[in-house]
Amino acid sequence: MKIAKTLFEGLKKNRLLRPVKPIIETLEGIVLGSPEATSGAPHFLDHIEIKRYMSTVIMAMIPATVAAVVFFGWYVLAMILISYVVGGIIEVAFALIRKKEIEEGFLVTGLIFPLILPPTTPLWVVAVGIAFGVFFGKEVFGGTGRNIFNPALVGRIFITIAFPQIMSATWRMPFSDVITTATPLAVYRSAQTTVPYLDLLLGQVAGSTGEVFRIGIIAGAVLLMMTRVSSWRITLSYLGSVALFALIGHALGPQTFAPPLFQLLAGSVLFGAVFMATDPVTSPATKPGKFIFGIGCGIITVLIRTFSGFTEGVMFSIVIMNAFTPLIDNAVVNLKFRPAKR
Amino acid sequence: MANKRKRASGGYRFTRFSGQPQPDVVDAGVPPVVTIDLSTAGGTSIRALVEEGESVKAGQILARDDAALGNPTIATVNGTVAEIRRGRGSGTAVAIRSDGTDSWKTVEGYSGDWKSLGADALEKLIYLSGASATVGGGIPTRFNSAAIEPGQVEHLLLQLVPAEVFNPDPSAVLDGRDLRSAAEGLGILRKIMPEAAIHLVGGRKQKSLLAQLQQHCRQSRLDQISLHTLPAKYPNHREEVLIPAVLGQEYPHGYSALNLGVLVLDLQALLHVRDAVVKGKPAIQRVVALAGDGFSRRPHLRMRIGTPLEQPLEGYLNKQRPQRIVRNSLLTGGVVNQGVVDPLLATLIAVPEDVQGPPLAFSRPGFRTDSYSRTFLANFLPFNKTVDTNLHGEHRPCIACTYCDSVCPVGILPHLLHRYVQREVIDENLLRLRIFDCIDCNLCTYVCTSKIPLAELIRQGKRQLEAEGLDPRPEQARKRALKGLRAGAGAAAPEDPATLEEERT
Repeated sequence: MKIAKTLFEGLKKNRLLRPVKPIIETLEGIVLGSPEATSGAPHFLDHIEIKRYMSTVIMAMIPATVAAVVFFGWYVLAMILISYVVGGIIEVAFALIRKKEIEEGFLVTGLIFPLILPPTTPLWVVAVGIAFGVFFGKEVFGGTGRNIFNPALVGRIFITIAFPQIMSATWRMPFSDVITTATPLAVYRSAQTTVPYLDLLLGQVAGSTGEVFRIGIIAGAVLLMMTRVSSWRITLSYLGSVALFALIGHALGPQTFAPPLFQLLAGSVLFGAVFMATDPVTSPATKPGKFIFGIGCGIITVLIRTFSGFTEGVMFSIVIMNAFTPLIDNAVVNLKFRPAKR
Repeated sequence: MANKRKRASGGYRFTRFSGQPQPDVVDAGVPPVVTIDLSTAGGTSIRALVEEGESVKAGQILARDDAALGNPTIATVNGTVAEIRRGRGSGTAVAIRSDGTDSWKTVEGYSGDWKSLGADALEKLIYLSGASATVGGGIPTRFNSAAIEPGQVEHLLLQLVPAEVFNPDPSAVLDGRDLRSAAEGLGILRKIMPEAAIHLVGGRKQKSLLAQLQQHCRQSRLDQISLHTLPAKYPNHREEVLIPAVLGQEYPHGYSALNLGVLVLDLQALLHVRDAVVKGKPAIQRVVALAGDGFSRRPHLRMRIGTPLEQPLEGYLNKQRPQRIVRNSLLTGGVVNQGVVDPLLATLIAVPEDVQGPPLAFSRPGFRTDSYSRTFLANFLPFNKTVDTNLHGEHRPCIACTYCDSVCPVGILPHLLHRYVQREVIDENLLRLRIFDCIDCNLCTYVCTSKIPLAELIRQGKRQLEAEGLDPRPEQARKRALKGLRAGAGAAAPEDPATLEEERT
């Protein structure tokens, strides 16, 4: 303990290491804990901190991540590694330029990104995607807390558009090397048949690495809501509106709209509603705003799935609603806080 | 009574903290020296009525100015005046070297049969005993002891909500007396404030105690007494929250409860009133709860007002680590390591000055760590939680987790306000966002994930708005027909905004 303290003090004083001081300070923060004390009232503070907050999100993603590695092999681990390394370099580079400490939000982005990719994505595409996502999705806006769009989704959309063949035509079934184009949503679109729900829950279908083991995602959702780390308002209103909108659609046009339960379980609705729509930075801060956001995501998801050229709409729905976030918040605040009566 | 204002759902319950005060009371004895601050006597130039070298008795008046808003300050030990320190504002103080005797001079005119005394005699007793100084803005009497007259008090709130992390134990505060004494105190106050409806307010755990008190009051034919329970959430004990919750009245920011005709007092002040009238005992002592893990034993200490804190705390402090001693509230109190016992002191909290957090703090299970988020096991397991002064994290940009918005007791949006202040966009828009509704409870700073001093930034914004002349108080005063805004009555309450505005235009 004391040795570590002296070591960090020495490193911080070293002139040669001055350019990388943010890295040293970040490591010190992780290893030694906070060295600062409150300077006045309030004299003691909540134990929550960004590190704890973000590690809770990562903990919630562990079941889905482990399942991804089990289902699709060590290759997934390589994807995660590439994502962390490439994204991490950009994050660190910006921290050094800004002379600020490295922000923990990246730990979540770096894990979410490989989990929303097809298990066949070449590693260089993973690298391009995360680099684009972190750079254009977050850093150009000024870093954590200032970005408008979910960085992982920015990267995902970029590579979807840049490499359409890789990103939508080559999927794999778990525990198999057979390349298929048939994700459950694609199957429904061409043949109007649904996959058994138990297969969907257990992940025995084709899909993005992290989205298929849905029981694990549900477990993560419970953890996040129980710990108050993510907003139940967003997750539940997203899922609820997908179900409701699909129910109405399916009743009116059973050939066009997939049934509600299938819509909930297939594709990345669960993963998106639990881990991505709930990103506090890019979703509304007001309580009514969170409901509006979730409902908007749900409706757009079902619309894209049903009527557009894409079989899945989660990614676009969240990014579209991200763009509306400031507007939603502003409207809610203006309604709640009317101009002072004269 | 219907609440005119929807009760905000905020607040936060501090539960299961180790280091709670024990219910026993220990007499700290008579200290060798006391230092009495004279500034409570009010007025612009406070003059001591005693001279250096003069011998004084406990209970003797040291300073008094009936023309100015304020309360007399009294000597709290028998002895000789060692020094009169002159300074600006609270700098004026009298140091008395005690002779070690523990008697006191009774206040003239007291009577065990207080019902036979007239309102004027009762008020005089309350005023001259120093009891009226044991409430924040003073207890109203005909001697200009508070911003309003006793007849203007419409509601009297006895507040026992245990909303702080550490709260004094009512049974210890009673200190040998029983609830009949408290009932007597209420009877006395009702006699001088005949218009006042009495409200007894506590948490759920105080309900039986308050019901007993209500019973005693009924036996002595006190009517118009109602009982209220509020959740023991911080800051439900503050008058800014109590008044909307109990009386359904909107609280005018920048003013005190007295300006609404409401007197809020705690059990100890009530007992000071009763002792002054029934026993003639001047308000020379406070029963102070010792709390926090920094104390190895935590009784309630009976201490003379003006006692330097170092001596009585000597035997109780845990000396292995430096301790920060905080007055009354961990969230809003001042540091009093070098302080003295004052007439409003109720709790002393010793918090270990932990400069370094534990290694890998963020990854620990957290059996004994408190958090609004439920990311630690302490939220689910029955272990007691600890308190220290560490930041428990590092400063980061706001991620809009909105914990602050959820806990805000007045329903404003600290995360939004702090962004405006941080970017120095301080204008009328902040008034619309009700920045002046903020009651400085500091709860937003407490819960912040990014360790942003939200409450301090909001205060900064308020100060700047006031400096720019965007102060909502004059309008409040016009709209609400507030009481006690006469000129010169501005020492305890904020300065009279009506005159302020005239000066400005």
